[in-house]
Amino acid sequence: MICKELHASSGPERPEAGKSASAFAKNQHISIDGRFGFWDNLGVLEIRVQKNIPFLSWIAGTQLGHLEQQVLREMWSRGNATVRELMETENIKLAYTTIMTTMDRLYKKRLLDRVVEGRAYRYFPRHTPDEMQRVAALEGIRQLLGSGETSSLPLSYLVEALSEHDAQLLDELQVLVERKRQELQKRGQS
Amino acid sequence: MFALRGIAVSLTLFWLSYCALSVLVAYGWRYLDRLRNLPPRVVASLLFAARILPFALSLAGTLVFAAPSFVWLEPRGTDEEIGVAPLLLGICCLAFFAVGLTRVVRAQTSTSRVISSWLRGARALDVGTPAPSFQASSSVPPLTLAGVCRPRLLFSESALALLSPDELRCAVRHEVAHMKFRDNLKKLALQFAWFPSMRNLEKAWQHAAELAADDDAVSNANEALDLAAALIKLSRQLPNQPLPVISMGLVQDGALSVRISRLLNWKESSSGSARKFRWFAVPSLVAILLTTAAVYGPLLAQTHEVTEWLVR
Repeated sequence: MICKELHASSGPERPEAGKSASAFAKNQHISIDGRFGFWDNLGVLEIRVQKNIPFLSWIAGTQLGHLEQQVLREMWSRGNATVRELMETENIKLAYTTIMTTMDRLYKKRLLDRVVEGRAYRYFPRHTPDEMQRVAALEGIRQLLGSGETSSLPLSYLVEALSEHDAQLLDELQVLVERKRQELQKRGQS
Repeated sequence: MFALRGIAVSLTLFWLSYCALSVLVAYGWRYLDRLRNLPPRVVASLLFAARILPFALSLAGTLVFAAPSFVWLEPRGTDEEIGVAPLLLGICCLAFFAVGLTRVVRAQTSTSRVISSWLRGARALDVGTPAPSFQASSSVPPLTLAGVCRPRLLFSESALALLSPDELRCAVRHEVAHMKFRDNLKKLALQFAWFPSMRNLEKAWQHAAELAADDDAVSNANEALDLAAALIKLSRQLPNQPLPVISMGLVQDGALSVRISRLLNWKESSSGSARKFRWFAVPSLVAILLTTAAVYGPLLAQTHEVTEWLVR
């Protein structure tokens, strides 16, 4: 099957933080653990249900509130921040203690990491938006596969949808090939 | 009894080192993130080397250290008995070899059977490849390279009808590259040196091998587009039959998208040169050999100490 990296021009690329964060916000349930890296782009993504792995296992069934999503999005766009630094951004107009509590909650949910800096903590996102989006998508698929009375029925929906998706992507790629061919011809003539 | 004890100890050492190294490779290979910038040919070679490393190192260790240390340093007059642990581990090792051999025979037999059935009623083609080429029915996968000793190239009727001469030329060159890199032989070797949890590494190697064959098949942007067009056209053809185990298909790879996007953005430099990496490999190998020769005596004595401990 053609996978989503089709649109990547070359090699693995991280999507824009804001874009993926909004996609992530739509998928609040996260309960599958995946280990992500370069090899995942080679179609070797290894997915395990969290029960088998201590890492991230606590996330199962966790929902993120609006404020948590907002802070997480801001952290993705900044890379790292202290509570005070986050307070100074234009996007978040909240009290110091509110942000501190939210970040602490995200830390406890293992979505943020932190190191001591003076008398405060500096927080870092533990996962990229891309990773979170993948995990959320995988959970969605898992839920879909487990939703029907007969297990083959939802799977057939998925295969049908993917086949349509594949065909569409192949059409797009064919157009790209033709366009590139024309470009090369023009360049050769000039 | 001496010979039996020596065999049991050698097999035990092989089995222990094979298991330990395999676990290390199965869980550690993902951390080779730096490979991403190397040419696919080098990546494929390194991944295959990593996959086969536990077997190769264990075998080398057994043949170069374990067996000679026992033969040369073990006193022959003693009536020492084989312990339970080396006996059990030796049996495990023999079972591993037996299973590996069965897997090889089964893979080879099933591949031969499938290819024979595809070749029934097939027409011989002259497409100027080093391997004999055949046109089979439309139900077979579009383009397949099968076989280890006598590789054969099989085209489906629909593949020949769909592809333009330029696209076909690039597709054939891709398969010839697999033949040149002996990818089917490597697949057979992986069947023998089996170990659980290696599937992802094997998948990564297979993908890198596809990228390497793509790079070998094209030499300019036009050819890259021809190969991309061939991939797109053939991936629309859903074959009725799966590929045999010991074969390489043009569109078998799951991450086809990565291949197509690489070809769309093909540049003279993008394929990279694998040749310069040989200059690193040869001195490294020589250095390892020289070091081993220099410390062979003490290492042999240490290996014998380990085997003594194992026998007890």
